[in-house]
Amino acid sequence: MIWHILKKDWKLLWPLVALVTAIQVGRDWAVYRAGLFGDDPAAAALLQPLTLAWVIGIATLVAAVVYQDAIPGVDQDWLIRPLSRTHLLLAKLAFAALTVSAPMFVSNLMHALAVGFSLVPSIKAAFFKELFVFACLVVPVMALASTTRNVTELVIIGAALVVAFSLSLILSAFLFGADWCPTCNTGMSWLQHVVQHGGILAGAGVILGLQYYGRRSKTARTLAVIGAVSLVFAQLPWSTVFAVEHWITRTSGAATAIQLDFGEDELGGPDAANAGDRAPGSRQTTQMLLHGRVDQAVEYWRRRVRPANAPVAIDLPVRTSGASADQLLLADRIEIHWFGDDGHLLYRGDNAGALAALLTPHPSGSNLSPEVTFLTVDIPGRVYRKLAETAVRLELDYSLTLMKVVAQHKLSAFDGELRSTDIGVCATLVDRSAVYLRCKTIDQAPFCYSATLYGSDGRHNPEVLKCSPDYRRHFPAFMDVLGFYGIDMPLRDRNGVVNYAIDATTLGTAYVLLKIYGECDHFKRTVAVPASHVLHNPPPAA
Amino acid sequence: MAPIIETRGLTKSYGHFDALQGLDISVPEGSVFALLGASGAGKTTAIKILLNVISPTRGEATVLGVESRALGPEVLSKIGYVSENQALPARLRVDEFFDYLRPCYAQWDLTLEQDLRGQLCLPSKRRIGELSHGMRLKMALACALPFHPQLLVLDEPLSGLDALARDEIIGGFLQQARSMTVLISSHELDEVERFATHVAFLHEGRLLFRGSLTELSEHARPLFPATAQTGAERPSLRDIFVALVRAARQKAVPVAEQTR
Repeated sequence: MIWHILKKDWKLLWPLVALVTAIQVGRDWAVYRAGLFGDDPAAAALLQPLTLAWVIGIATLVAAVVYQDAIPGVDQDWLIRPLSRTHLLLAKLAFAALTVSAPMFVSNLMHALAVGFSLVPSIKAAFFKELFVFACLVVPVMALASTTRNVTELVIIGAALVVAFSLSLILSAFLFGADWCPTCNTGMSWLQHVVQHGGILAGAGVILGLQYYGRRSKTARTLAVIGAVSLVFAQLPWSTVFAVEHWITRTSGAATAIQLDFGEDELGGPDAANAGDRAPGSRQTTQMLLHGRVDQAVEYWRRRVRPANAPVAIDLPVRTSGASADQLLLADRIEIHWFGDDGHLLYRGDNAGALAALLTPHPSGSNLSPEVTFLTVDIPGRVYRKLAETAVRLELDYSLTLMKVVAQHKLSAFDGELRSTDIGVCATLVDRSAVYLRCKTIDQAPFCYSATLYGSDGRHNPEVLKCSPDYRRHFPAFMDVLGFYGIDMPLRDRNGVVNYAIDATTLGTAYVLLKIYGECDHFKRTVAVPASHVLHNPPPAA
Repeated sequence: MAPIIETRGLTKSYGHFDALQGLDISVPEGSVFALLGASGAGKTTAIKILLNVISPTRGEATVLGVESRALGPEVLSKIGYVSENQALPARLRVDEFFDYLRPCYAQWDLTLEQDLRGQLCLPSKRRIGELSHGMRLKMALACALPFHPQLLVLDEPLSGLDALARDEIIGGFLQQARSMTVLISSHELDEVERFATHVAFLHEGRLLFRGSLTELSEHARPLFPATAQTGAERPSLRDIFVALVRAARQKAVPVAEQTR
């Protein structure tokens, strides 16, 4: 009967199927035509509305097929027909697979092949993407639709879920502060997403079961609201996430040699707290200016202009040793513990919600001795003033990720093009102010990479590093079958004060060195900081 | 002979409102059983429970020997159903709907289907949504009979129809009624009187009477003393129903007053 029900639904919905397929194909066409640099402005302009239409179209089609034999209500014809509930449910799922996933698969496959990727990886990428969309969009929408009779009811329950989710976010932030989501803005957030997607899929499965086998709409709707709230409150603890990530990475012991210490010497001795012009802020800024990095200096001072009740930023020099030149060290999370002289805990904080910090100074971008970075720790002004009055000891627990160069490629700076199995398809574009590098890949786009503009004589501009940690593995993209990434290499500094060695006049023979970093270990280190060295920044006026 | 339908204390409540209160009926095989009552009496609620469309709050019912809550495809394939509120797929054409239904029933009789479609003048190429109310009911009837159901359930099939359409509908199912049991709910008492063998009167969710038409006449005799004495023609279903309802209300008033 599955095929039979499916045929009936097809007869009723084929115009909508045709429309949604046209939107999907149109969207893939627009992505393809937009190219790496938005070559076709019309296609690039169409992308946003088509993406919105794509999501709405899929949701509408999936809901429509459910409504052909709606579950709530007492007058539907199917209720008195000898139809197996299992067949009915499978027919609806099969319809969605055939009318949403199958055309999308073909369209995505064509797109990947047209860009130049080979058949097998393209099939694999398109298949997993469609599977992901099916599990994370189609099935949940189907479950939600099964609790309602029509689109109006669906919109109402959808709005109710959004409200429940938003209120939960507000409540969670109120209760837990920045720590409401330990994995947010970290490379390990994908684990939380896996749990959330798994939860949504399981919840959708339960709702579909409740509806198709029990027609218990009220229970199903309540479950949906509980699910929306759970998405906010069911957060994985950091220690668990880090342990899982560490286990998955199958560490090779690459990080054994990495050590972190407090860079006492960089403070200029124990009197640094009262040193005024020798304080790290001034000193760092001076060094930045001397090295011509005006934009960094301006940014450094901008961050320090703050109201009296704002958190106090404390600069801590952390010396990293044991990392080789082709390695980067990322601090995914730092937990801060302040102990009193009697050893009990006075304050506990973390950098939850902040982006990962780069601990290893970037070779060409270092502003101090190569192995030292200043870590800025924000603590509440109220806590700072209290701590300043007593002798305290500070412990910093670092959750770290060691990155290593895993691929390195050169391509011409001027209209360069590169095809490679590990980085995909890349090209460069030049204008007066910068060289732009853009890439498309059939695999997951790298999250940490750098590009340097080299001249034929060996001179080079500062290396530009882009690193937004995302340690996911084989997690398919939701919207596009191809991963997209890129980096801009300016020909002068941000304020236009300093011209770099390679500028517009020498670009003809210049080339770009692209380095891709991959994670090689996740590990933890603790740095203990003596009390007298910590509170060197004067507190803001009370 | 085991009854085709049997209910015991069937109750359905929506919050504090009791749509059905302790319904006890037994529908004998081969009978045309009329569930009668005004709008809101609980007739449709009873039918929906019998077909497992809704669950009872209390009590139980068996249909074709199966507990109503366990009614599955096997039993449903022996039940024909026609309702004034039946939501048929509006965008399907008439012939497409028949194409859809045929494989659902192992016993589907194509010749009977064609006979019924011809007899009821169903336009094959029209979309169901474009059909008139009467035509839709005729179509529902034509869909409910070709698989030779053991039980035909008709929920207000005559409501809102003109006399001609009523005759066609009644003629349509009576032709097949010899081989099956019919449960019909209606508030059109005069029409039902023409073909019902058994009746049950419902009023505000309560059962006022159940039994054969002969038993009904006996039961109603005390309510019509003048008719009994003069030997005039027996009172109609409508008259009996009105008298029963009035009697029920008179009984209910003192109870209401006591609770005040």
